[in-house]
Amino acid sequence: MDDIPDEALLVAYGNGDMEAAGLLIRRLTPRVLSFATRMLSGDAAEAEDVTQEAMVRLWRIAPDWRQGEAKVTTWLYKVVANLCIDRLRKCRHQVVVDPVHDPADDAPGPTAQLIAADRLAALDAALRELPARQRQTVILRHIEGLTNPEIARVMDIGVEAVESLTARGKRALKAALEGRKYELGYEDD
Amino acid sequence: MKMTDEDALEDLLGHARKARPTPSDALLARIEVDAAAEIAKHAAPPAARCSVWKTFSALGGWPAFASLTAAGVAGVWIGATDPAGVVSQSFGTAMITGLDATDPGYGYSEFAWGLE
Repeated sequence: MDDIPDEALLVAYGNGDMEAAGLLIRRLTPRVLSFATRMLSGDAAEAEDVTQEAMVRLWRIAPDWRQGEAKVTTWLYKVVANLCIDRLRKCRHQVVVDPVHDPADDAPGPTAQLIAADRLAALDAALRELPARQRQTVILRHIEGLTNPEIARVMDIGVEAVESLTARGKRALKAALEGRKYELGYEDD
Repeated sequence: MKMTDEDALEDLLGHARKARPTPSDALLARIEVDAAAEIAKHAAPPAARCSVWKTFSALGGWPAFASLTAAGVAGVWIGATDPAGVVSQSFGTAMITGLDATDPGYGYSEFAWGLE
């Protein structure tokens, strides 16, 4: 069953096969949750809501899904990106607490696990400052591991535009993290 | 050791790749419940039955069906019965009104009179 493409499983689910749904859930939920978590700057509760909503939309489209027209993952990343961007727009007026800028967190964590958590929080904070499309391309390319043509299909733009957005996003991330390298353990005294 | 900005960023992105969140059992269960609920909505037989019943009701239901059946039976009976009965009925009408039912112009003169 592991060899069956997502698209065939979705059609099988659309015909009432709940076993196919179970396989799709195990395959796709981790990817959807991971992408949503980074898009939403590490907000686990919001990311779970988005994941559930995106999967509901997938179930709803299943009876009308035509094999060969699109990849399920491409369609799903597109839905997740739109849901996340909608939520970010609604929350723009809210004050988001950045744990990395909290004075209490100035000292490095006592364990490697805490250092890793600090670094992840720093990355989330830097990603949050990026325009949505730059953030989307950086996450899809460098965290989710999609190719540029795959990202182009997700975002309905050309490959050159993907490359440009990714490059600008990485430059902005480096600039945002430049002053924090010591704090994050990337520089000695 | 001093890392370049590029190295530091690559390391951070590497942390993010390793720290991909694992979906909780509760989330997986909720998604499975949603899947079952959505596929149940697409189950065809209950919808088809409901649609036929709605159409039947919209056409008048059982009373309309009984009337239609009675009209059909009457039509068959009229068609199958000896036409002499129809002629005798016409003759009876003629006796009452004073008209000759055997006259080929029966009825037409009355009609013309009515127009004058």
